[in-house]
Amino acid sequence: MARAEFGELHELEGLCKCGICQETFNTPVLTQCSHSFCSLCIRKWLTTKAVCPACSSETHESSLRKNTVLENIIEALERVKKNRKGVVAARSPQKPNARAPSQGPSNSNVNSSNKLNQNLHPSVPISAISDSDTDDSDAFIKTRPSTSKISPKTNVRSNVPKETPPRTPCIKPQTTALNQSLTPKVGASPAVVKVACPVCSVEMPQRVINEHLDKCLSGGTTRSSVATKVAATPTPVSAPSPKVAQRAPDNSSNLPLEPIKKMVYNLMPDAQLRKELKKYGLPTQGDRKCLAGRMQRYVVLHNAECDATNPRTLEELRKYFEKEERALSGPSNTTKFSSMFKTKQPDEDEFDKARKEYIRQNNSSFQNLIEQCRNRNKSKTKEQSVQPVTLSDSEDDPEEVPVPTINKTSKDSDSDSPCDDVQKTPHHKSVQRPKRKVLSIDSDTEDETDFDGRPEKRPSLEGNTSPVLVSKTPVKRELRNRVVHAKVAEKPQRRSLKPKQAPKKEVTKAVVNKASPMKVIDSEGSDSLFDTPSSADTIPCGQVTRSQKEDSGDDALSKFVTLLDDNSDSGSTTDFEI
Amino acid sequence: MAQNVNPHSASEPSSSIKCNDDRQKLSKDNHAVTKRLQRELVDLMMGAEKAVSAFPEGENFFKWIGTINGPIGTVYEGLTYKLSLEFPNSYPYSAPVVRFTTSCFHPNVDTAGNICLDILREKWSALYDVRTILLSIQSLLGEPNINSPLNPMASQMWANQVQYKKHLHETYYKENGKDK
Repeated sequence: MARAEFGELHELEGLCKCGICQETFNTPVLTQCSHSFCSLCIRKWLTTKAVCPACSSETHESSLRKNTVLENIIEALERVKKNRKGVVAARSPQKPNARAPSQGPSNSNVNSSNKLNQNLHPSVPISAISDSDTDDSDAFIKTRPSTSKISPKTNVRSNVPKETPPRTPCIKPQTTALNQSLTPKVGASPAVVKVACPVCSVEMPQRVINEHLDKCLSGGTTRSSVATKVAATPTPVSAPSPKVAQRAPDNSSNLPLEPIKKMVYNLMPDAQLRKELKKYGLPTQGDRKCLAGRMQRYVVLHNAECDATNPRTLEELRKYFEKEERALSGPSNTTKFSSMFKTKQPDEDEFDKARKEYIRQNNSSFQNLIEQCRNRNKSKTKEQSVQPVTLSDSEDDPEEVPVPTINKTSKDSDSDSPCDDVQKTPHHKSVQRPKRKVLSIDSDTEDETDFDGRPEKRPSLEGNTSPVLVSKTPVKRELRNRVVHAKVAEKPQRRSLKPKQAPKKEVTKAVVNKASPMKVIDSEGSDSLFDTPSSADTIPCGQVTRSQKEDSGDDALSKFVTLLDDNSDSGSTTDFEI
Repeated sequence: MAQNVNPHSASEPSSSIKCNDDRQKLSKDNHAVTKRLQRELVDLMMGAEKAVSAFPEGENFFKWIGTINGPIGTVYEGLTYKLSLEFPNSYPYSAPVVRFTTSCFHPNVDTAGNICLDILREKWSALYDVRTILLSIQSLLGEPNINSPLNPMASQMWANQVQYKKHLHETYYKENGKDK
């Protein structure tokens, strides 16, 4: 249908690309020789060589001028693209945006496969691929279409209307993290005692103050200096406080960024160089060469930002710069080919924040559920002699020692990064599992809660998995075996529930389970996992830890699972989207 | 010419093992560079370029293998050459390191496969990409710069195209096997 339209759009889009980064122009500037580039790209290039990349004529940074018309054209183009996308999304059989919140967990699968299809479709503009970085198929959610492609971090810009509540469940992970952390859910944790952080004076619930303080102190070295300079509320975004949302107005964001004058850094004395760096809150360690390089790179970034219509604040700029610096100093060439194709990969920090936020918000409901199960359990265990150890557990460690280490497990779960590849996760689980006490309960009573959302989704998931290559690592094979094993051996009526200590584990486990369908398909050539009435029966570890009530009822949980799911999904598979 | 062994190809296996080791580590470095490389790859795959192709080698996205066909109408017609492209972290602000992995008898290519091409050195521009590099090298095959030879024997022989072709094919098949 819209093939021709797409073709034209594609052509137009191709014209609006910066030759250096090969992305749509971000803050385009014009050179003397009338070539356009992204402000940042051309400035970076000019530090290496003072010629125009296109025509080799002499060019200097001072002669660059903002190309406002082009910027407006791009904005218009993005709007058109957005509308197109909306049309496509509305026409496609699976409307990812129309899903009910409870179906959140597997939405990411649908989304990613959707995206895959899009990318395979030749008439779709290529930038759809890059756009899927910032928005999946949720074109409706994206608030600032045109200029949000410098990095994932751009989403943290203060001028983006943050008040936008998460409207749909399939909001992408980062946005979810952002929204969760920025808009504290009133009522999610009612009547908590709020205390102010002694370091950054942000108020937060008492029970999170310790972990926040750790973070604040560890990251506070450079931050404190900036805090005074920028006169902003120092804001570790993890702190869910109304202050955070109000940060933008009382920050210096409304003041225009002033371009930094160019200096001959190599001739500057060390002290002056350090002073300059300090002025912008940048680290002052390292030798002279290091300092000069850092200053130069920052000035480039800073001056490029000055061209932007909605420049970031100094604080945001500094954070972005820090991240870039880390990338620069980090081990070179470590980017793996397979990791290329996880387009949605939340930052470790953001992820951590989101997870903690989630645990905080849902702690009460976890407690409730656990209490319920306990009560039920008490009444039933007397009539049934239930063995607490399920099959695959005994496989790993026959003499399971139930150690009721409440604090330890929860601490563990905090320190563990959920961002690890899925290959790692199950492994890690199997190490820890034996330590946990396992209670068993009869599952019959729970079965009435719905799994209705699932069957309709499963076929779509199946249908789309075909182009996905599943890498078979040994650990995964082990996992797969376990799935089969558990399925065969486990008595279907029995379900065990782990006591309350580790709500987070529950979720991750569920995710592992989520990730397994593809593997099962892959190995057995059958979609047996989809046939099982409840996928919870086949949780690979044989330790079913997630009650169905949670699954259906808890909106936030499903969102979080989506988050995790995305992560593990992308880690485990190499979707080859060409 | 018989000792045409690329030292870099020998070191490849160890590097790929290394890659596997730190696979657990999440790569969040060089977002811009990888993004651009990713885009180039997509463009290459989608483009209708028949004469040149390239693809990342193994797990490392910063190292690619390129293939070019000898330009039609030259002595190189019918021959296929493989090249390795290594991208620095500062790509595209600095040029990738491009080498022939297939031994190439050419005035501007030395016995180790190093290429003497201005756009890979002082004339590099951020606007060049894998496709343009490979196309440039392809055209270099047909139009060598005799005045700055890396392989003096080839540059002397270039004047006599018949003899050159004979020698070229002899060495090509000797080094790379008959099957090509």
